[in-house]
Amino acid sequence: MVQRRPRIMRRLPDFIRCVPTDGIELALLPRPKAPVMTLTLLWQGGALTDPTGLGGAAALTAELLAKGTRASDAVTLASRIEALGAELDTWAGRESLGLSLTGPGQVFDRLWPIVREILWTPRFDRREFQKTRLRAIESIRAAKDGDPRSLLPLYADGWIYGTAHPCGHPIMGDERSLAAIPARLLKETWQRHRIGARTLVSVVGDFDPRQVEAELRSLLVDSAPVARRIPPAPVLATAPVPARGILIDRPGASQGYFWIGGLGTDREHVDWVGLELVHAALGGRFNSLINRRLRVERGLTYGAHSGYTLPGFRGLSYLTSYTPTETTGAAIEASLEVLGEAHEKGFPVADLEAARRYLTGQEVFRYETSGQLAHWLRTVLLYGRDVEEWEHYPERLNAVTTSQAKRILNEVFPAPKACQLVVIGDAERLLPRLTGFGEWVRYPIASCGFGPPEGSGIRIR
Amino acid sequence: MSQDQCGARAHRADIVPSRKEEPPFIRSVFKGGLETILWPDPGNPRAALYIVYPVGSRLELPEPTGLAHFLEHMMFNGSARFPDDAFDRILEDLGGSNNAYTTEEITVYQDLVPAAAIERALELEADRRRHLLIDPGRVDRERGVILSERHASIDNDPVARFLEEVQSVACAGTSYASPVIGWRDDIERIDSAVLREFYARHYQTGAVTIVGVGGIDPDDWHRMIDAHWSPDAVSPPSRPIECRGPGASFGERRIEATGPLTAPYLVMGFPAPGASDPGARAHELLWTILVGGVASRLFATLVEGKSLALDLDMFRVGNRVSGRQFLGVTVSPRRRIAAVERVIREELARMVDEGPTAVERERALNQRLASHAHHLESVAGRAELLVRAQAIQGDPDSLAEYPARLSAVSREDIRKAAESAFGTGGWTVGALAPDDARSPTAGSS
Repeated sequence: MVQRRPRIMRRLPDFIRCVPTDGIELALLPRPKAPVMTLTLLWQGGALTDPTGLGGAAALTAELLAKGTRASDAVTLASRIEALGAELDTWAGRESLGLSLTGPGQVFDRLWPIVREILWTPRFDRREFQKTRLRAIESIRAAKDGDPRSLLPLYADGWIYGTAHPCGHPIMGDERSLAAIPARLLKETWQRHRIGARTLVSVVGDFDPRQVEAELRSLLVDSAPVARRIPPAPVLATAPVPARGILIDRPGASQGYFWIGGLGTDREHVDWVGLELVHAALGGRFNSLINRRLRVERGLTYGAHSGYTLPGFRGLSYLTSYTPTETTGAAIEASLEVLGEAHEKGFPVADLEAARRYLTGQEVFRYETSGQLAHWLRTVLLYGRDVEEWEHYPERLNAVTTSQAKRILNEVFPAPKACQLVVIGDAERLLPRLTGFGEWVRYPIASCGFGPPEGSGIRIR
Repeated sequence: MSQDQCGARAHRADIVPSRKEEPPFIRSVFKGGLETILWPDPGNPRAALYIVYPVGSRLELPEPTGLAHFLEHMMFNGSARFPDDAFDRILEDLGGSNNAYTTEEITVYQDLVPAAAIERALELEADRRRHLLIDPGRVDRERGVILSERHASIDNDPVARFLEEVQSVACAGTSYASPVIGWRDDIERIDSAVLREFYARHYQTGAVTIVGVGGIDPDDWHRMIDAHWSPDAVSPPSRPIECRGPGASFGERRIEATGPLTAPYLVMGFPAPGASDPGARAHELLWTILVGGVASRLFATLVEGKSLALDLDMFRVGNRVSGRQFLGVTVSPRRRIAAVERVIREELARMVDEGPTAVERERALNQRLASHAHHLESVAGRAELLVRAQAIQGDPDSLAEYPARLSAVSREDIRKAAESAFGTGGWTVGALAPDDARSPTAGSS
């Protein structure tokens, strides 16, 4: 069964990719003498498959997976893992549900039985469910009191996709949707992922691939022969956006935190290496156009950057920063200017070249630790990508021309006039500085969830 | 790579340093007292270059607070030879990325570059160590950046704002009492003259430690240091300046406040030994047993068991010296701070009386050793370990001995560490409750 095959990888760490049985897909990356080993199990699905109004179901399911097995309650299970110096992480992404165990390579023999228990006999205890759910709800409320930077993307999702859309609710859910989730949904969600999707597995560390493969086969012996499937691409709302943006009121905030952007592209329809280059030039590094204009030249902010999400469906493209309330209008204007210049004229050659050299040099730092390699394999497996995409990264990076970079930006980033705005700050003090941008929907940060409350947001022209 | 083949063992993997008993790094002292530590890793395409200055906010008095951190920012604002933002531009052009941080005790500049670019990075670092311009116009612009940083990291987060006050109370009367970023009024009045003076005083070659990790040849390293890091002509080699840590104090200090938040916050600060103190390793295990991981005593009790808290965090003020170890608790909005404090006091008293169980000691030990192994994985992780061993503990060789020293800590050692942390007073307790508008009875949508 085990076949030799010619080595293909020349630059990146080589790994073995195979489908030992129809329900399982493996990527094994042995690194002799590596001190740390990482096992990742992944199932397609995730928050996209949360039932309407029950956002957070996949995330809560993932959390409950770590809360005990038939043999061990939550703390005992944690103790058995932590006693070996290992860490268990379970999570839901927008398109997947996952579990990983990381720890010193020499203890892995003792971790396999624990993985088996989690997969075969998770406890899904009712009391744990209620506790975990309440803690999640209270943590969301607490987060709204804290540093607003981490909240911006949640509000942006709700506004751009719309709260009725499967991507419009946060992966973790919100105060209302979490409260509505019934306990039985978690077991169902787990079964749907575990049996209804291929199990995508990666292992990175110092191990014998034959032994690990055998271990995994016996562990996943019930995996049903299901075909690889791309998660359903959600239908996007086509209704015209009702205003220029949302203003989330946090009375007393001394800065305006802003997000400028809109719908971007999906993984199938873009040269992601070109997209990386475009963002490195626009806002993906210290010397990017946006950070230079806002921070280096004008001292408006501690940081300004651009970003994107690149899922199997249309993701988002954005610029984001923050600055004292008095300069928020000016900073948004300056950001739109930078975007507009790049949209119209493309990137200055020198900036594009500098971005290219930066990405070329930094590439080796992306494949250094077991955790980084495991993360890379997650993308490879989840999207069923050919690893040659990464192997030829430098050539692909060099092949992107100035005009291609401009075209990519035009295609993936809305023009300034079409961009939506999301701002968190002291609304009373911010409004006079924001009215020039268009119509705003304003609502308090303490409102339930992250999207505009239906009917209750105040619209301001 | 075809999908249906299960292949044989693959070979290409990155080189990982051997974990031998003898230190895998080379220490050297150059003219003028400049010290370097090189951890060569032949064949590694990466290099980490960390420049460590033994100056932090504790050496600011009587100048404005925030000075050391402000200077760190100015280090990216140009020299005569590499003006304005040339440092960042050139480093990124080399394929490198960089950052820096300032603590109460040290300032560290971190460059991650392809190994082939190490000499240029050393040259840039040497240049700004000696020829920084500190132009008044750029100082004003950078002030805006720092004020925005302060707004973001502290002013708009009620817990962070409260912790600033707690630190000032816990460390009152010592140079550890002020926030590293500085008080707002101080940031507003810092000017180029005071920055220049601070730079001239603290950025002497005799004070610097240069840490290199990765694909760097030792012979090359010594040649490059000689070529670019010539010692200052006039300055005597400076010795590290010691400050008294926030050690002994009155019995217990309390600070209570209300703020715009829904989840109450409790913070408790306790005496903690300096990093070179013989009891430091036992103290490290003690706090891992209490707060490290889901099964740790306080997490299992407060978060998992009694649902009193949403989360726990830990931070420390003062590392070289005896300082303060803080425990932070985000309290569940349905619970009272006093109830949480009572449970913590009981748990701490039990630790002083009984010490940890054998299982707890073993678990904490393995957790710390695993964390150490994680650091060994990357050039940046190894550089950070060397910075801590050299600049905080004052002995890089302690790094090689770390696993052995940690393993030698007994349960009784940990109990004694608990006794000196919790049994001798000197606590600071801060309680931040929701203001009237936010208390649970006020209701929320």
